[in-house]
Amino acid sequence: MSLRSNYKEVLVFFNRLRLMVGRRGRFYMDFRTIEVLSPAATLMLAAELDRWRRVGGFRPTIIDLEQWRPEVRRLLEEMGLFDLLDVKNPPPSPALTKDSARFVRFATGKGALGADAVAMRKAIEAVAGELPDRRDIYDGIVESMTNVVHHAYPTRASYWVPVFQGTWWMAGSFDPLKRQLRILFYDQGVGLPATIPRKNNWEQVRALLKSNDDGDMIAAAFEWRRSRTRLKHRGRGLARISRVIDSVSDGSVRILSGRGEYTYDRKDGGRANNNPIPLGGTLIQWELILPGA
Amino acid sequence: MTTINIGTDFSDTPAGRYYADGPWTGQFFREKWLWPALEKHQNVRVEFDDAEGYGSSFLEEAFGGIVRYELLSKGDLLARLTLVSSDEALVEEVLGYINEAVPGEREPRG
Repeated sequence: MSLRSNYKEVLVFFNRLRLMVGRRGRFYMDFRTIEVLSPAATLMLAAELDRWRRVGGFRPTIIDLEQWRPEVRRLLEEMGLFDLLDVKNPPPSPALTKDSARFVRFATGKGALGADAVAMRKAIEAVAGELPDRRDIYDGIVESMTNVVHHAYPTRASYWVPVFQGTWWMAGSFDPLKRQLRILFYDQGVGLPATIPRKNNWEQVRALLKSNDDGDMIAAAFEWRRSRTRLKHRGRGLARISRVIDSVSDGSVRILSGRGEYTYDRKDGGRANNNPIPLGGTLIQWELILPGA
Repeated sequence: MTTINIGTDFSDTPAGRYYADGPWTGQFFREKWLWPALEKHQNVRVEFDDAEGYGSSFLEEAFGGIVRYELLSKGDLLARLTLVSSDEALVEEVLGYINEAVPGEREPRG
């Protein structure tokens, strides 16, 4: 399950899961056939299970956990999903080595909570060592939180699955072999493309033709400081989210939202793409290669 | 002259724009720390280094907000503020928010 290699299948799975939210009765979770589970997909899974738990009726049953791939088990356990799933006494994961990928337990909250951003940074530093550019990382996270409060869940929007206004989820991972750090931030709102005003006739025509231009709309928000409010003093947050990338030698930020995505790195700048199925919210993934590789 | 060290006097984890956004927002800082200091003192020194960081929403609302809410003109505010940070880009950013602020610009709330 990876939003990079099999986006469509992952979203089909999540949409089925979303349809079950609020249903009563046991549901069975069997990940024996999962060979790869990306941290981003895992954070979204955590958010979906958390949504169901909050709505009510959430009664998971885990099947044959000892037959799940050990690295999948470790990821789920370290990211805190075993607690969500109420897994008692999981089989021991293989011993950690210096090369083992590490994962940071997901956190969830509502609002711009700087203390939570610091807690996440400290949890990441516990597995990855002291981070460079701490301030830019803090700024990116708190600005993402603020965007969730202001834009992600418009009160007049209609939702086909229950949402919790203002709520976000975040987690992290570190691959010591690649020195690759990932910070993941997700909300279940309407998505950036739905909230960004269309500025010119062509963008309005594209919308009327119903062609998918979500990737371009996310790019417009990043590159042109476009904000839902249309006010001059707003719309800087997305630029701030990407600033940490400009201060590291190698890294990228990837935003998936609606049916679009946008990736920015220093070498190639920004690239927009479209996806066949809406994500169901916005996922921001910072990927930094830490010094020492 | 009075000094506000944001990290030690206000919060080391400032974040968000409005009160509703969180516990240590730009609006909170402007209304309860920055503007009262400007009312009482001709010159205010603001120190930035002891906080974990600042989102743009916090900074714009705190500093640009003084101009947007027409509490002071840009010229007056710039003349009376001293911004101190080891990060020059941060000072430039705050000055940018003040310079770009449009007096009287409000937004629909809710």
